[in-house]
Amino acid sequence: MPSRPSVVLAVLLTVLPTLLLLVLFAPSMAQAHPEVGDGGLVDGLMHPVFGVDHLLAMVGVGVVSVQLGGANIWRLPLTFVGAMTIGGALGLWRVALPHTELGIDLSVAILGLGIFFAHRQAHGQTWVWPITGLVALFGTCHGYAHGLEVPNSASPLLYTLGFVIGTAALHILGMVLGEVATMRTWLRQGLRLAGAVVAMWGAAILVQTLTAPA
Amino acid sequence: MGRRKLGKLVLGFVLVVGAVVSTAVDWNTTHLFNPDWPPHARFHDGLFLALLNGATLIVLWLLWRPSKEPRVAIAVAALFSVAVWTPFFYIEALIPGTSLLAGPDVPVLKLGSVALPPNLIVAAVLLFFTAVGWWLARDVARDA
Repeated sequence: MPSRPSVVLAVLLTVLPTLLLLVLFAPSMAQAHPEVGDGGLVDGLMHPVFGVDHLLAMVGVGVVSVQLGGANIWRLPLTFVGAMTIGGALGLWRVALPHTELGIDLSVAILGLGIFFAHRQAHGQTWVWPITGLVALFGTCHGYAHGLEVPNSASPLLYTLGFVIGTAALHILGMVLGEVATMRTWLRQGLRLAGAVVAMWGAAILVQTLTAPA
Repeated sequence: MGRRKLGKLVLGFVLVVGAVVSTAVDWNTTHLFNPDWPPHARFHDGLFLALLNGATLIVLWLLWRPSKEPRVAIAVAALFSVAVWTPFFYIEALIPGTSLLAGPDVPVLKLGSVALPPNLIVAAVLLFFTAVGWWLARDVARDA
């Protein structure tokens, strides 16, 4: 078990900056996607960060991948980023893909539940492919939303590069949070609690989307 | 994946993203091909990009090669990243006539009265990941 100073340093390095980030950017996040970008790389980088739904889902993929362990640590984030790139291309080309907003809301709820329930499996990886498939579906929905929201003046290549890097950064943040949570029981419990909150948030926006007038 | 490997992955991510983003951001008419820049200034930007990409490849090799002294490679990767990204916070103050922004049209995120240029945000995020990656990777004994 890591020493106490090590755990304190871990919390200082990861949890506190994450909370600070949330507090600092909360007003901007309430706006969903503020205009801070250049129509290219910066817009792409900022897009996953400034949408709470995107942010929670992408950090969630990183956390769950570490919680499940094994090859999931690289498989789930790479699946999400790959599917998101395909979804982004579909959005850019304006290919009709129904119910992607529901898919995004559902991803937040399911990944929140994932954080709450997931644990490293000692024997076998029974649910690996269904989970990977679900992550691919979620990635496609998020990518499609990114693709649809590319500003008219944007360089699609730079915008795509931006949101791929932004997403990967959020996955890595989630992986680090998941790893830090393995150091102490209270940290693990805190993360599970956060997962429950994320799941409730996801359920709330899902209901909001379902009940919104067409 | 052990904690050290995750740390190395984070450091590798920082190095690759730093090189890719810097090249992507500079490879256009606002920097490297800016007709308003003196040829020698453009030469120096090209030099910086070549140096950054070359050094990044060397540090990546150092980080992932089998080694009896992995701590050295981890420290070098973290210090290299610190050396690349901390100047964003002091060059403007240190050298008169320089600017963080490539032009007046560069979008700046405003948080209340605080203006945050995008390159400063990227530098801060990459320094944060550098610290996290170094902290995870330095725990060599755990996985050794």
